[in-house]
Amino acid sequence: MSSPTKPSTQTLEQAADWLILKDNGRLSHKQEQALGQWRSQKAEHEQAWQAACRLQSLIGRVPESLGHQVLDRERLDRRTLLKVLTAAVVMPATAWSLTTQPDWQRWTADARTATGEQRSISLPDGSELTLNTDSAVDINYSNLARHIVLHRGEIMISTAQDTLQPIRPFLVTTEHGEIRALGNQFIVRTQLPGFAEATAHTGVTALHQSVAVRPSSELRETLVEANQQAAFTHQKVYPPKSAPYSASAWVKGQLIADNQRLSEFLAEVARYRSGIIRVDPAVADLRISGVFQLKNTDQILSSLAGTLPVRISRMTGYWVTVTPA
Amino acid sequence: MSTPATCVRRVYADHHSWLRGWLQSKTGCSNSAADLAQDTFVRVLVRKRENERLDMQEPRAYLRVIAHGLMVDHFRRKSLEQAFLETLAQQPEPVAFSPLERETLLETLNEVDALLDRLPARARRSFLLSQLDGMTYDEIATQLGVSTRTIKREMKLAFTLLLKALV
Repeated sequence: MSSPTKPSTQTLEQAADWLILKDNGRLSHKQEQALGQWRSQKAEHEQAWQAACRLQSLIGRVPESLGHQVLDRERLDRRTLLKVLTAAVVMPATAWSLTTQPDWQRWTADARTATGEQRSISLPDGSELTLNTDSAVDINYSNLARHIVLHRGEIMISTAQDTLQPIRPFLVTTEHGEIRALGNQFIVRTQLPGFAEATAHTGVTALHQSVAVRPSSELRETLVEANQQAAFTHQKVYPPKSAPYSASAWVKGQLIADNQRLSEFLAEVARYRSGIIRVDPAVADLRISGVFQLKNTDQILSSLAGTLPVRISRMTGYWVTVTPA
Repeated sequence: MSTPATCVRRVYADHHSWLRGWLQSKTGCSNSAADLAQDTFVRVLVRKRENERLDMQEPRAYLRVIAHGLMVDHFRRKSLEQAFLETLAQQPEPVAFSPLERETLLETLNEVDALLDRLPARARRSFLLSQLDGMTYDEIATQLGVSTRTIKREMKLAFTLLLKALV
């Protein structure tokens, strides 16, 4: 702990001079002695020297090339940051808007898709946001962060290397917490099949690299590795599982089932169409495999009757029941 | 006389939701705002213990000052982590860390980063070239196109400022 009286600036400068001398090459025997004398001269000298030792041991623990690159990144100076923080008031935006000022850039928008609709949006830094059916997001870009708020539905993010220095974190938040991109591609969705059906949660699938997840009432992040998916509530993260290949099929307009229970499969199909699909419990556990085109969910339903012992009845276009054949 | 804790409790009750709102308007993120508001009060409580006579006449102005410092730190840390990951991704050979190694390394980087944040850009660069890359002051001078004497001055500034933060 530091003592109540801190070394004077003059003492610190003297310690700095000693460090510079050491940088110049090994100290001679005579210089070593002189340093020893200086240290024992006053308590504050020794105190300053202890700080110098702490500094050197700290620097010694930093890996050279990686450390240099990370630490030498461009920084916003504190005054600029103060201005940014003072200016960055979140405004609800109803349309794309771009505000450019000399020293900071802010870009906010919101985007949504209707049931059955999918849409891709290019973000200002070159990242790509794809919305699946019935989804809503806010997009907030500032000097400090690239930030997406997912209100409902499902999105895939493909991040690009940031165009701004210092590099801004890429964050997706939902009502349950925050996801930070560590790699370039991941999917976030409300309610992920295979996880705690009865509990409201957010699901995340890390595609090529990992993502960090932090439930909103937690301080620590949990890592979700590449090719894994996990669900989290505002309190906890459920243990990750390996991600099925089908997780990102929707981006290509496909629905992939691999030995999936019929009831789960139809719950997925239902996301892409208005109305209700009712599944008779007698056929709910039948298994289905295949690749289906999301563009035409009527066709998906019709094709079921050809491959499984089920009958599809349509009361109206909005009310479909699946019963034993 | 009220104890520091009860005094802070009153300030908390009166100003917590205001502070949280203020932080949210600055960071645009309700999670960060909640965390930072909490950290601000922890900081106030610690300072209050250390210094009985802390002036709480203008609680909001005081809270803003502390919260602002924490916010700057929060974003510095995030930008550090992002740079760390992007640097890892650029390595020619894949680099693997255990979660513990990664945590330890990031902690060290963060500590150094917070220190270096106090330095002017050129002093910081000289410092990194000399202390991390092991270049001599002459070599640094040549690389940056300035005199060795200038580098020496930058290094003295860097060392002095860093020691000041560490004593």
